Amino acid sequence: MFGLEFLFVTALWALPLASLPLVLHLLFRRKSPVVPFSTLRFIQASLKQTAARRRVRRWLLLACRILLLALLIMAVSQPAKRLASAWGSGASSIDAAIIVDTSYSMLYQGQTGPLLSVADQTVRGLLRGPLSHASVAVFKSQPPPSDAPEHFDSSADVLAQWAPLTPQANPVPLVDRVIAAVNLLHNRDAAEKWLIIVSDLQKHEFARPLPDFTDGHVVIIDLHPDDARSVGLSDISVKPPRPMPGVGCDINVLIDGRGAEVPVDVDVADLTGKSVAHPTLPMAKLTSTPGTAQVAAPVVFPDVAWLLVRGNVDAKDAADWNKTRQHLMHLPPPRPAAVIGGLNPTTSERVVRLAIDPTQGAGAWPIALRPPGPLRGDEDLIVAILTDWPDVATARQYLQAAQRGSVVMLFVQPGLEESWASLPTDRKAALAAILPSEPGAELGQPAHAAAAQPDDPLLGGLTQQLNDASRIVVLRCIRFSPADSKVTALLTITPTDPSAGKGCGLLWRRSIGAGSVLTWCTLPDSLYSNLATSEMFLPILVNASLRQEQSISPLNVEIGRSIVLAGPDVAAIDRIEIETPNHERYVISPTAEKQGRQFVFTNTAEPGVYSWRRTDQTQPIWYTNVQLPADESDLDYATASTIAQGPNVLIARSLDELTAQIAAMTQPQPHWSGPIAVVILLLCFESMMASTRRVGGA
Amino acid sequence: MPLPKYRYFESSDAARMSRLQFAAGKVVEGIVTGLHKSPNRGFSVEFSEHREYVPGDELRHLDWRAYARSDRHYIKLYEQETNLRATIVIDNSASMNFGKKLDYARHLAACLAYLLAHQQDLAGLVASDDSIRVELPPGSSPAHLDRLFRQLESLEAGKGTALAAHLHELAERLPRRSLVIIISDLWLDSGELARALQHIRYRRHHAMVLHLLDNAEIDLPYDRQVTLEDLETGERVAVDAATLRVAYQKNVQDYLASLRRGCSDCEVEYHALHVDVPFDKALVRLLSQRA
Repeated sequence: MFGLEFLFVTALWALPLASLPLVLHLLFRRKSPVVPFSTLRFIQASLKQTAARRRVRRWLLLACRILLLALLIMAVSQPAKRLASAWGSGASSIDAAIIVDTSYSMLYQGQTGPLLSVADQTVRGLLRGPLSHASVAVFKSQPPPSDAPEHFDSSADVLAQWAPLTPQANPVPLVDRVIAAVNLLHNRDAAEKWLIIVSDLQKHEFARPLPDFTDGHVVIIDLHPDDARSVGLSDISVKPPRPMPGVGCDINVLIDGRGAEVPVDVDVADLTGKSVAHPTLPMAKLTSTPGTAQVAAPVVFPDVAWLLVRGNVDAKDAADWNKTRQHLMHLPPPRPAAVIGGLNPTTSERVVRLAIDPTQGAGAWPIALRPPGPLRGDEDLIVAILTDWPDVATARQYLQAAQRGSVVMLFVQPGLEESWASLPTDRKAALAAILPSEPGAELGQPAHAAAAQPDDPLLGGLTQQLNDASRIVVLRCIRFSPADSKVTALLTITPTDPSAGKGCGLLWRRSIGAGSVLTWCTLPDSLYSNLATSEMFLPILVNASLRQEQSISPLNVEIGRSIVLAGPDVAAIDRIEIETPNHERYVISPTAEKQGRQFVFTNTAEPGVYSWRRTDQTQPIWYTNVQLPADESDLDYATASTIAQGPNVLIARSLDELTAQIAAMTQPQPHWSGPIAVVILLLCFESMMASTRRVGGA
Repeated sequence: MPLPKYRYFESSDAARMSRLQFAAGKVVEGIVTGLHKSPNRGFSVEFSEHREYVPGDELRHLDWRAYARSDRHYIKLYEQETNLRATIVIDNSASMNFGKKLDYARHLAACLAYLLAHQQDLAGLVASDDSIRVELPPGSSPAHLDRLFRQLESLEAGKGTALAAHLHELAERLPRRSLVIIISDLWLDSGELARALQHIRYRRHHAMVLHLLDNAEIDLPYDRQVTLEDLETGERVAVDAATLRVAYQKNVQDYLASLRRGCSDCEVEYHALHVDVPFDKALVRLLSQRA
């Protein structure tokens, strides 16, 4: 009754005594004394008037006394309540969903071993002990394939098929796995349902609250270490994110953890493991509270297409899995460029050649400047110094190069505009197709430059230089007045003397086909301008040579997540082979997505470099690096009571503690207060009724 | 002369009664001059009023002073005092056996009879249950009193009651303008009683009701389940007095109120006497109120 049981059951044998008032009542009725009375006239009238009330009162009093006695006997029998009667008793059907955290953070070495081993033992203990008669579904951090979802099975079968837990990727937070388990439990009809979470309760795993689970009990076995002190290398990045050979950049390393000052070592190597750079990083300092330290070092990458930046923190602590990490980079090949000048190189041509390749072919550089000669047609950048109007064939060659996707950069010598009118019509037409417009009058006044389109890709990353654009002084400049909407001024100039008239464009972009024609309205010669000494001149030339990355395939992906090969390079490939770090090979067919054909590989269970190759070739066409999860180095743990709380929630730090709690729950808890309170109320009620009977008593 | 020893009238009672006087509240007719006003005006002692002289009247009753003042002839009339003819009706039904009511009634009747006889009034006795058991015509001689006292001693409680019917009968049989003193617990229909009293009054009698009550009849003071047995019918009813008390008390009070109202409507004196009050004290208080 109400989950109550009695510690002193023998006393319940006295329950028949509760009928004593009834017996007394009956006896009392038979033996009521006969009293002579003068007349029953008013007695009978009163009896008629009060018949209903007396009947109710009589039976109420009788019931009150019987209940009073019964409750007193029950109180003596020591009623007790068993809080969790069905747990482990095997008496009723139990369904239990165990969500066990198998993320990499569980590799933390606790007092009794890795947390993952503790979790393994805990789950086994649950299956052998309290859940030995239950139906069990086990959820791990990594969701199973969609064709083999979690399902309930007898605990004996689960135990028989049990394999030791290994660290897994956690592409979704553990709370999502809990939600999946709750949904599965909701569809079950078991008499008792248990949701058991075995985890170190990292905060990022429980960023969302647990779903409501009122169908049964929630058990949280909190395995988080009490005083976790560990450091882990959580991220390596390169800035700028698209490094180029020969151009300096920074390697940034993030260290997560607390309470340590650790040396960080970084090595840059090609995919064969050959070290190509070894920058020196400062010590990473972590405070006593969980947090992140960042260290950085400058580095110049050689002209190698694929590079791995491998980081290592020299620390020996409770977590050894996160001490190393690698970051894959794909450096674009040097872009072919050609500079077209006269037979005798002018100052401007020499300046441009030096700006395009400062190494002059002696070192790594993103642009491969070809020696003077005819155009080959594959140049990404064609620079022409126009000291005279090119002929029609050359103009058309520039136009075709732009249409193919190349960038044609023209430096137009001021003064040429005077000969424009005398050009044949077909030549003017050919030139007009690549120039911003027909040339106008020369701006003969000194003028200062300014950025008109600072967001243009050509000026990307030149924020500081653009702020100093006014330092560019142009002495002579040809005016162009384009009417075509495809022609935009990237840099403009304004006369130093405001009375000298309006300014004009200095650098124009005319988009043609897949490429564009950039037109400088002056020469990088001190007679015309100080462009050659400007800080933005060289970057503009280099940027002009770079093509947009065509591949959209990510290079670095966290373990457990799908890796994708996509882009125009794979558009025509029907099958592709991927090789895992364990040298396992899988052949993949493409999937059609909105953005085009792509190859997806989901089984990224191992960290390392995965290589993609066409089935008909031996050389890989792309690489993807699978990294260990960064967040798992985080030592920020949630408190179990903030994750779930309520009367149906049990929180324990170990299986033993849980077993003790369950044992305490299944012990009957004395539950006297209810019956005693009712007894007191009944006593008051009975005495009140009895007192009303004695008014005027004889 | 010492009184013989009576069960319901002792010498001490005689001494107490000697100091009391029973006055009829209304005019009564008697056969000898007594304490009580007679409806017959005559030429006795106490002046009452004047009336116009009529030829034939005795001139000695002519009020000469009035003639001197008004020059008209008036005859002085005087009130005649007479003695009281009282009939004491005792209800000796079985219900009077509850408590000490019948004994109380006997004491009251004896004392009243003595008192009346002592002041030269006539006292008779009627005992009524389901029939008239005793009927003693009014008298005032010591021998009459002796007979009356002996009758009271030999009077036993009867069965049921037919008091109302007997009062109707007495109203017809009693001489004009008698006093009827009814001593009863009046456990009868108040309407019937009222009609009987109206009859008595209609016959120009004066009536006085001495209602004997036992506290137990009013309060129903039993504390447990009891079986009450009707003394007159023998009927038994098991009751839980505690649960019944309030309703019972209300019913009894309503009945008493109706009795008082009925008596008042008939211009009949009504006195409730609780038998736990000694009868002599109750009688002294009663007569004091009437005086």
